Amino acid sequence: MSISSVVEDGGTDAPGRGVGHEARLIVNSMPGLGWSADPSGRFVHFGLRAREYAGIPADADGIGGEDGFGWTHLLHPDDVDRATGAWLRCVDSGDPFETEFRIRRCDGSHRWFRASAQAACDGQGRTTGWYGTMIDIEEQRQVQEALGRSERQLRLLVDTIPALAWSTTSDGEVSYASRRMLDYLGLSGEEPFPMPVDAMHPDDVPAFRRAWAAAAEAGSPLAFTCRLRRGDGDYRWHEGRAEPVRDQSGRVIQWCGVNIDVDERQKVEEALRTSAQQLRLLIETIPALVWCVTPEGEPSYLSKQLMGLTQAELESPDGTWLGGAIQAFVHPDDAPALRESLMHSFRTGDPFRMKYRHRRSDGIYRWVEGRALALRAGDGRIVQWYGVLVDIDDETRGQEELRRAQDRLARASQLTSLAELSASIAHEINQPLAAVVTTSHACQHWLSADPPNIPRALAASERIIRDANGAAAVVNRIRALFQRSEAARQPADMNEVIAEVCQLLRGELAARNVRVETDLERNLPPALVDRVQMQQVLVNLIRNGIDAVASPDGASRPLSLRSRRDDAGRIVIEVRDEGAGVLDTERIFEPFFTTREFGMGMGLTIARRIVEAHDGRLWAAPNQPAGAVFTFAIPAEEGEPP
Amino acid sequence: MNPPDHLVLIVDDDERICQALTDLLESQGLSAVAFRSAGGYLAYARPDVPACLILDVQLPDINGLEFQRQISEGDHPPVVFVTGHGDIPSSVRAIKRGAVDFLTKPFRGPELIEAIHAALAQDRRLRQEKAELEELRQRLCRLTPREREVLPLMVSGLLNKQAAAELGISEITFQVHRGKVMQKMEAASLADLVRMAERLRIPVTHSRRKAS
Repeated sequence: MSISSVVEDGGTDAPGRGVGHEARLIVNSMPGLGWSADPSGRFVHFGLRAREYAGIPADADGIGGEDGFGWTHLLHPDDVDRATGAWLRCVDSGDPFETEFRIRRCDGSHRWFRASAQAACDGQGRTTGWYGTMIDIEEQRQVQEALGRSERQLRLLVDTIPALAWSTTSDGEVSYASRRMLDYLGLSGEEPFPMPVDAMHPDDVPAFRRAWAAAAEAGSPLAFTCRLRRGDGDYRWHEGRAEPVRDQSGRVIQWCGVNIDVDERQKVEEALRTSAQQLRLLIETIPALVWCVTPEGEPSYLSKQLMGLTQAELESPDGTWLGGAIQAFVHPDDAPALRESLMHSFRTGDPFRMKYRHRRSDGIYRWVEGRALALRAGDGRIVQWYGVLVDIDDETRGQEELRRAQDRLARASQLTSLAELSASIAHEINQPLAAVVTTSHACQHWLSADPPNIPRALAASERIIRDANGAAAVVNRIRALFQRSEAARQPADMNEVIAEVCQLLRGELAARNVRVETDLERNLPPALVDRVQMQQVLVNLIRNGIDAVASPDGASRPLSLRSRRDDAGRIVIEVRDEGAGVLDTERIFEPFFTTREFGMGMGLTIARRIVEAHDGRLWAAPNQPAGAVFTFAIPAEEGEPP
Repeated sequence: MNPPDHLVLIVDDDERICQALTDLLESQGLSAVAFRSAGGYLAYARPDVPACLILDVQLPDINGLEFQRQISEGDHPPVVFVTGHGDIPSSVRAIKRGAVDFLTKPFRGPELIEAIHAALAQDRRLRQEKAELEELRQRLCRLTPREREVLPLMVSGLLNKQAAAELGISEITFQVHRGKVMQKMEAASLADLVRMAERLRIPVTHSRRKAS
């Protein structure tokens, strides 16, 4: 204001000196660093404060320099072109000059100034000169820059965090969306923000609206899960969290939130849920009952049928679920053995396996095979028992039939030298013998006829010789049958042979309710044996064992099978029972010695012959505390490293 | 060579047994023919002479006892069983079904010959009886329908008067029929006719006492 009046006043004077003098006064009295320029933009005066600032001596004339632009040397080099350009444009147009730049202080540092200048005009509107000033804005500028940096930092942060950040007004209109959010939605940021629900899967909108309404109502944090449509049209699961922002009066003015992509997790969870559901369905559908119990014997999962235990049924003697289940589902004859076997497994961690009769929901007992395995934690601790029951009733009955057939067969083969086969052997020998006897009678008649018929008698005697030789050949053939040639011997793992025999006798063991415990030494060297004969020996010994321990009440003691290698490198197999034991450990190997009602008393004799034919030994000894142990030792195959 | 007056048929799957038996029988002057299976025997065109069948219990195509049961209905000769190992139930069954003997191998020659002779004798007797019965049937066939009505009344022992009344004819007429029956049946006496009627299984339908 004062500038213009002065200039106007000055305008009455002759141009030049008068103006110059006054202008100097004006310039020096202006706030900031005052200056003036002539109409063509050349600097005329540079105020005192400006001179002080820049360190220009007061008497030094012409900051404007020869061309009136010397002042530009005081500017920061980066600002020179911009500031000069702006100034010249204003001089050209007569528009007020307004720009910011850095000016070098006398100490050599630069500070920001805002320069503003206005043209002074005479009565005819001609520009007579320019008056300007520069205000130090260094501090303001620094604050702004700090603010800008902090905002950039914040934006960087918001755009970098792996989440979609947003804010809405208190009405729920989107007021900000982070770069990531825009990118995700496929927006450039130019267009107006969509409403939040516009990008949501329609199925998820109602739940979101409810959650939003509840949070808005209570002013409490908002949490939601929904599918958000990506720019390419795919929906991905997101989990959203938002907090209300309040003003000083506590009124909610906006909401700030983030969405985190949880699609993978959601899908995994969904897959898990589906798979768990399928598993459950599978478990309920498979023709087997499944149970899981804790090491303490409490159920953690049960098939439906097993869950149908009533409270009354649970009132078992020991009051546990297991006790109740055994009482409710297991045939009374099988219950003690089952309990013992289960307890044994629970105690030792050994797998459980037993065949027993299980009561179906219709009250009928059917044979099932129960099995259980322990799941162990990394430290070997048992965390859970997993068990199944498989109905094997039909199979068991079928096996029982099969077993009987096998029995007949085995019995026949056991008595090859004696009973069943004697019939066919007798037939084989009898035929030629009958022919011999008959032809002999014929021969006799031909000879005793009158006259004797010599040719016929000779023919008859020839046939007698032929048929008698035939009978002898039969006998030789039968002998060869019993002396199986050594060529039938092959290297065999006796542990495998034991496993085969256990498999063969499985049905019989189940039917007689005898459990076999095996203790087999790993890495036994092979033995050169006739596998079938070794099976016969083991079948014989195990059958004897079954007969010794089986009892009609089902509470039989287990039979134990052991294999090992002795100091001499022989393979030793033991069959141990806790039955009544044997009185005479040698007589039992004599032919026809039997303590049983049925049986020829040949089994052990044949078994010993077989073992001896393998250069081995078979003997019996009393077992401690009760029963008997049958042991046989055969050499390991030669040439094998010990 | 004249056809033999008898034939022994042997069925045994063992060639040696067949040979031995044939030899033994021939040494005794018996005609024999051997077959290795029941089917071979059935296919054979048997001459019409007294015969006997030596049957092994274990035949390749059928059990001997079962075969005996199957042929028991038809016109087959008496059976002598031979077996590798005989058991009491089998032999009892065989004998009950009419087997002449049940011999266990190896059998003594005389025992077998004796059994064969017994069987042949039995067959001869049976054939004789059958021939006689056939002859009686032939005679019966010659009777007129009226005479066939008269015969049962005669063998029932009715008086002529009663029998004539039964048929609704005169006593004289009945006596004429009666004479024809006796003549056609070649009966020497009424007792002879009664025996014939019995063998022909003509039932006694009337009783003199009942009618009186």
